[in-house]
Amino acid sequence: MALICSMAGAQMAQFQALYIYNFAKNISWPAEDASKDLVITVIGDNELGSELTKLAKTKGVGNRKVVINQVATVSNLPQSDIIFLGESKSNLVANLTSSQDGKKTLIVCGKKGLCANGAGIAFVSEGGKLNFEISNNNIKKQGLTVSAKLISLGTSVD
Amino acid sequence: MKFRTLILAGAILFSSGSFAQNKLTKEQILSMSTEELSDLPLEDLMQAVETLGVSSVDELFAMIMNKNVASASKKEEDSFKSPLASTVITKAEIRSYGISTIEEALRLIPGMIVQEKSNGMYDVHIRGLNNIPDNQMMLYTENSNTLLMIDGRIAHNYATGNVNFDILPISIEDVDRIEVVRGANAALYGPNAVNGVINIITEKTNAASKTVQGSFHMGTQENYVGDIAYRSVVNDKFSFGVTANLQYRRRNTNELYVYPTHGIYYSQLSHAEWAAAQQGLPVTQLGAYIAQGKLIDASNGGYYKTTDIQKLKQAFSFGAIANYVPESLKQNIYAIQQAKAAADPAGFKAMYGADQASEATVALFLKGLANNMDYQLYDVLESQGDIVDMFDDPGMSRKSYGFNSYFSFRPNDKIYADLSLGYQQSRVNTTPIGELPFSMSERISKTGYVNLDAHIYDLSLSASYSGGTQDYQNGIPGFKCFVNNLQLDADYNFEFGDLTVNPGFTFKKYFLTDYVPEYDYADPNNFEWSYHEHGYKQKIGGLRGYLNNTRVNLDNIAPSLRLDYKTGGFRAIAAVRADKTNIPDEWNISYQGGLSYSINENNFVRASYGTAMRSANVVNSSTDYVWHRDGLMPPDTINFQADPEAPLAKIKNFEFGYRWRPSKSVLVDAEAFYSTSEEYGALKAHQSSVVMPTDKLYAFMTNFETLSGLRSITDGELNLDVLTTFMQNTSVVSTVKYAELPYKVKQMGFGVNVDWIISPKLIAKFNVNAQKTEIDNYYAYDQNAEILGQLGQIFGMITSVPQMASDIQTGAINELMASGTFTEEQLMAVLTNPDFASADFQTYFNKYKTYLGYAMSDIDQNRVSQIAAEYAATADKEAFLNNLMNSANPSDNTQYAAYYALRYGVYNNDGIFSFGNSKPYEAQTVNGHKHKATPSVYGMVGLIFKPTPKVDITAYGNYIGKRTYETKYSTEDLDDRFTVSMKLGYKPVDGLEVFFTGHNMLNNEKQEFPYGDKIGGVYSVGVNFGF
Repeated sequence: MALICSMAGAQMAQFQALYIYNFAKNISWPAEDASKDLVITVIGDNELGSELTKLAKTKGVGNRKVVINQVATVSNLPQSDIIFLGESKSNLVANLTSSQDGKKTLIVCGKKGLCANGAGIAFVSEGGKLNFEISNNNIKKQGLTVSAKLISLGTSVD
Repeated sequence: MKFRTLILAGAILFSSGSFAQNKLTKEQILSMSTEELSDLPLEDLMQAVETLGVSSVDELFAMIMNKNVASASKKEEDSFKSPLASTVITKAEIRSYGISTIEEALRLIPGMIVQEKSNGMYDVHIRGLNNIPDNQMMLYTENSNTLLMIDGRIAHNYATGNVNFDILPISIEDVDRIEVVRGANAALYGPNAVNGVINIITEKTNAASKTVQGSFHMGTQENYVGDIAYRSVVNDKFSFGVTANLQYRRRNTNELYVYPTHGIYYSQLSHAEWAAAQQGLPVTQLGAYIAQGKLIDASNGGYYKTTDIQKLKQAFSFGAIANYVPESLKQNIYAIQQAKAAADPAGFKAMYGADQASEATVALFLKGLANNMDYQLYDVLESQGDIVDMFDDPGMSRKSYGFNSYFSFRPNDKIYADLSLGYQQSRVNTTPIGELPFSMSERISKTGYVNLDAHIYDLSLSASYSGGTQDYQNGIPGFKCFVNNLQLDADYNFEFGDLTVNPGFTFKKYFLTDYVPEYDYADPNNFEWSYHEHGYKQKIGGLRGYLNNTRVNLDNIAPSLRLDYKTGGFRAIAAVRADKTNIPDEWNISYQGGLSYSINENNFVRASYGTAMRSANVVNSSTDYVWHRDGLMPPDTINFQADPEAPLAKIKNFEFGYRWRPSKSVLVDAEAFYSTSEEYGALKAHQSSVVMPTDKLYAFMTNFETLSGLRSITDGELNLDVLTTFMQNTSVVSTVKYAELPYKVKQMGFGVNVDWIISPKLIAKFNVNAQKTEIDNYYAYDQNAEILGQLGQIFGMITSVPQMASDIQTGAINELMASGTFTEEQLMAVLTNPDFASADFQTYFNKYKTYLGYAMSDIDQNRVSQIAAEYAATADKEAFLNNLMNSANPSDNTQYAAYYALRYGVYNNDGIFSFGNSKPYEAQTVNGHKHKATPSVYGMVGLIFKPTPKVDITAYGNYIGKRTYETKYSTEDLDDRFTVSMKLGYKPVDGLEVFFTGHNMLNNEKQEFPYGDKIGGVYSVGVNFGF
C-alpha cells in the first residue's frame, strides 16, 4: 500500500516539476542572468526536489542549465530564480515572501490560496486536475514579467 | 520506444493549440518518459494531468493530513505540531461524507460523542461527563462542559448554561473547518471550556473561492436541507460573501414520548367519574377502574398523541409519604405500638400478627397507611389548551433558516478587518429545559449577530454582539426571554526572539430579561393568585417569567497572558487567565501549561495541564420563579430559588499525546487524558412544607369532627380517612435551590485517530476512544425522593401531635393554666384534646377559653356567638375567619390563626398556613461509583472510495458503547449501537455533483438517546455545486 502511495505522490511531484519547468519558460528572466544557471530552491518537499533534480540532469530552460537546491527552512536561502514552498511549510509563506522582496524570484507554493500571502503562483489540486493560481501583481513586484499565456492558463487572483 | 515517440510526435503535430481534440489516452501518457512529457506545452501537460487524474492525492493530503489549526494555541499552525489535543475537519471532508449538519460532522472527530435525539437534532458532548448529576430532569443531559464558538465568537446559552447547536445561524456552507480542542482550555478561551472547545471557522472569500457554491438535498422523513453562498473578490483590498441556509426535517412520528412515571394512567373516565375521583379515589375504586379498562396503565411510558396525553391522569396517594417517614417518627410509632401491645396484647396480635412492637410492625403499620389512603387523580396536563399551545407541530424535528454575510477588508498585510453579521430563526422540538411529562418541547429562537475582527500590526481586536428572543419552552409561561451577548477582546502579540508573549483582555456582558412586550402586564388577571376549583392549589396567570420580569446581567472581565517559547524541537506554552464575574462576585484563575517536542518531522510528543470552570447561568444563579403545578401530583408548588453563589463545576485535566506519520500517507494521533472535576450542582430540595390556604382552614375550623378525627390516632392507630382528607386538602410547597453535590468525578481515557490514504482512490479514517468515568462521594441524588423525605418529616410532626396531647391532657392543663404561659406544643396539645371531639362551635369556644385562659381572654363571648350566627346564615368563610381573628386578639392575628391550624404553624403573607418545615437531607455517599451515562468505548470508521475522478463512494460507521441514563423519570439502558451512513456521488460536469445519501443506512431503529426518537434510516438525493 505504501508503495502505491509513494508512486502516486511521485507522479504528482513529477507533474509539478514539469509545470515548474513550464513556468520558468514563461517568465522573462533578467537579461544579465541569461548566461547563469537557473536556480530552483525547493523548501520542504523532497519528492518534488528529487523529480526536479532528475529533470535537471537532462533538461535546461532555454539555454540555461538548471540547478536544484533542497532546503528545510526559509532562513539563509541561496540566491534563487524560483523558490518552491512545499505545502507542509505553508506557514512560512510570509517569512519567505518578505525575505525575497524584489529579488526577482518567482515564488511558487504548493498550497492553494497563498498568492494572497505574496506568492506568484500557487498550485491548486482539485477534482483530479492540477491547476494553479497566479498573481501577476506579485510577480511584477518581484521585478519579473510573465507571459500572458501563463496567466491565461492559470486562475488569476489579482 | 519508437512507437511511443511516434504517438507523441503525432500528438504534438496535431495539437498546435487543439490538443484537447486529440487527447492522449491514459495509457499513452503513462508510457511517456519525463523527458518526453517535458516537451509538452503547459496546456497539454495540464490536459494530460486531467486525463490521469493524479493530482487528487495531494488534494487529499491537504484535506486529510496537512491541516492547519488555530484554536489550539490561538495561532494558525500545522495541526501535526499543535501542542494541545486538537483535531480539525474541513468542509471538503464533511461534504465528501454526505453530512448535512455541523453536529453530525463532529462525529468525524475523536473524543466526540454525538447522539441523534430526533431527525437532525443531536446531543453533542466531548468525552462525556454528561448527565452529572444523574437522577435529574433532562436538562442535565445537555452539554454544559463545552465552549462553542464561531470564529471565536462565543455561542454559549447562558440562560441555561448549555450548548445549543440548533440556534446557530450558519450551516456547512459557511464552514471552512471545524477545530476541536479537547481538555480544559479556560486559560485560552475562558469559562465553560471544561471538556473542550469547538471552534467553527468560517470560509474566507479569496480568489480561489467559487462564486456560487452550495448544496441541496431532499429525502425521506420530509427532509429538505440546503445552503448556498455567493462569494466575490471586489478588488485586492475588499471581498465579501453572503450565505443562506435552510433546514426542514420532520420526525418519523407525531407522537411524543411520555416518560415512565409511577401511577400514570390513560383515562377513559366519564366526566362524572372524573369529578368524583377529584374528591378522592379509594384504593378499591382505583382497582375497579383499572379492571374495567377505564384507567389503562401507562406507567411504562411510551409514545402518545398529544390528544391522548391530555387524557393521562396520575394517581397519587399521600400514603406514599409513609415510605419516607423519618427515623424519629418510626420511633414514635414504635413507642405507641409498645404501649398498645402492653395494654391490649390480643388486639395488637390481631392487628400486627406479633406479640411485641418491632421494626417489622412499624413497617407493617406504614405499609398499611400507604395502602389504605385514598388516591387523588391529577391531570398530567392541566387542560387541553396547554399542550396545543406548546406545539406548533409535534411531528416537526427541526425547521430553521439563517442568513450570513462576511466582509473582508485588507488594505495591506499589516492592517485588516473581517466583519460578519447574520440572522437566524429556528423552531425545533428538543429536550425540555423544564419539567414536563414528555421528552420534547418546542424551542423557538430568533437571533442575530455581528462580529468584527480587526488586526492592526500586532494588535488583534474583536467585538461581537448577538441577541434576540428565545423561547426555551414554547407554550409554558416564563420561558420566553430576550438575550443579549456582548463581547470585546483585545490581544497583543509581542515577539522576543523565540519567545512570544500575548497579553489579552476580555470584556463580556450578557443580559437576559423575561419581559415580553406583547403581553398585557396591566391586566391583573395575568398575575393574581387564585384557587383551583379542586382542592386548594394556587393558580397563577401566565406572565411571570422565571425572573419575574427583571433583568439579569452576567458580567465578566478577564485579563490574560499567554507565553509561547520555542527552541530546537521543544516548545513550551503557558497561559493564565483571571475571570472576574459579577455572579458569583469573585475572581477565578485558570491555568494552562504545555510542553511539546518534535522528535523529527514525523514524530511529535506533547503533554499539557489545564484547569477550567463553568460560568454562572441565569437559571441557577438568578431564577426567582414559582411553579404552580396545577393538576400535577404534589408538590403543588415549587419555588425555584436562585443562588448567585451557586457552585460552578471545576476541572483539572492532564493530557498526553503522540502524533506519528509512519509514512506520508498515514497520520496517527494518539492521546491519553486524566481529569478530576467537582462542584457539580443540582436543583436540590431546599425545604418543603405542607400548607393550607386560608379558605381551607375555614373548612377545618368549622368542621371540628374533621379536626378531632385527626386526634383519634392517640391510641396508635391513625385515622386514615381523616388523615387523607387532611393531607389532600393541604398543599405541598417545596423550595428548590441550585446547590452543590459532593461529587468528585474522575475520568481517564485514551483515544487514537488514524487517517490513512491507502491509495488516491481509497482513503480510510478511524478513531477509537476508551475511557472510564467514576464518581467519588457519590449518592443518587433524587429530588423527588428528597421532597417526599421532607414531607415524611412533616408528616411525622403532624402525626406526633396526638402523642403529646395525650401526655399533656392527663392533668398538666390546669397547671399550665395556673402558670398562665403556654408553649406552642402545649397549645397544640390543648387544641387536639379528644374532649373537643364532639363539641359544637359554641362549646368549643367555651372550652377553648377555659383552657387557654390568657390567650383567648380578649374574646368577647357574645361577639363569638354573633360571628357564628353570621356564618351559619351566610356561609361566608372569609368573613368568618376575619371576624374571628379580629375578635380574638387583633394585635396578634397571625399567631392566633396559626395556632388553630397545627403545631409549627406559620402564617405568611400569601394567606397560607404552613404546618411544618423540613430539615435538609443528609446523604450517605460512596466512592468509585461508575458513571454509566458516558460510554466507555466509542468511535468511528470512515472510507472514501473514488474509483474514478467522477465517482465518490463514501461510508462511515459510528459506534457508541452501552450507556445507562439515570434520570428522575427512570433508568434507561441504551444498547451499544453502530450506525452506517453512506454517500454515492457522481460528478457529471465540473462543479456539480449529484448524490444519494443513506443516513443510518441500515435503518437501525434503536433509540440513540434516552426517550429519543427511533429515527431509522433517512435516504436523500441531492446536489453539491460550485461555479
